[in-house]
Amino acid sequence: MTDSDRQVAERQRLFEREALKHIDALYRTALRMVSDPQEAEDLVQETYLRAYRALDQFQMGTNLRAWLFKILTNSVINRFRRRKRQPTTLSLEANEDFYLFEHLRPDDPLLVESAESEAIAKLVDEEVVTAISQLPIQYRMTVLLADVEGFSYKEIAEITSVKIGTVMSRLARGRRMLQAALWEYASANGYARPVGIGEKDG
Amino acid sequence: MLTGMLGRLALVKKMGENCKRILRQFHRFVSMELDEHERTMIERHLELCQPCHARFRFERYLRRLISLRAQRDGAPPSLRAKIMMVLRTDV
Repeated sequence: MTDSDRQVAERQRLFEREALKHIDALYRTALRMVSDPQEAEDLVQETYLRAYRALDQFQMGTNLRAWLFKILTNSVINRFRRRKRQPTTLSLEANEDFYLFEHLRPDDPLLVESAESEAIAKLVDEEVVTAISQLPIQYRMTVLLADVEGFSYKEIAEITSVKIGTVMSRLARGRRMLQAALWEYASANGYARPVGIGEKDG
Repeated sequence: MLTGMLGRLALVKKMGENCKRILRQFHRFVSMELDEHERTMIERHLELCQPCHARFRFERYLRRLISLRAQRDGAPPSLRAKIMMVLRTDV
């Protein structure tokens, strides 16, 4: 066994040990992207296989988790392109920042927090997950990477191959759409009592 | 009395502009994307401004709730086993 063979074997062992730690995060992200458990499993398997085969392109010591997510993200985008499948998009008006906050705001500023927190706390897993899955794919991906998986804006720019400014605008719009969708659920199910939209604080 | 009122108006206007500036950086603040100086500015403002503070606490709470709710699914154990097998045989 040559030195380089030994290095390869070492890298492969390391990969198996380190990369599989991220299987849950990759799977749930894949599931939010394609909404089909079998397809999500295929995507995750494909991600590991691609990563394993491209292991010599990976710089040891750099962010393995971000690298795996980049491979997953590319696979997802390719699938959407290949099938020309149009994801369901939200028809909700979402031009406003702090959408939920503004719509839930009661008249008494001191009641703000409890009333709003109470309304959104009633949103169940299913409602939040459905609201996320309704976002157009680019926004969904960006919001998931930032707000669920905790990647920094810079990492997301790298993962999704766009500029950091694009990450920020997708996040702003994605979060607005998500809040608008959550508001629909909260009000449709009577969690929130609409109080009208008051004047904004200057 | 008039100068007092004008003074108060000036203060309200100033606060309003501060709030607008803060709101523009708000999401980056919640995401911990600001540098120390920007963060300190916002923290100081939040200590003084109840409406912005309520907004901040709500957004942070909402962010945590979404993250918690969206993390419910883990990979099926069979998938992990399958991937291990594929990696050992296929490559």
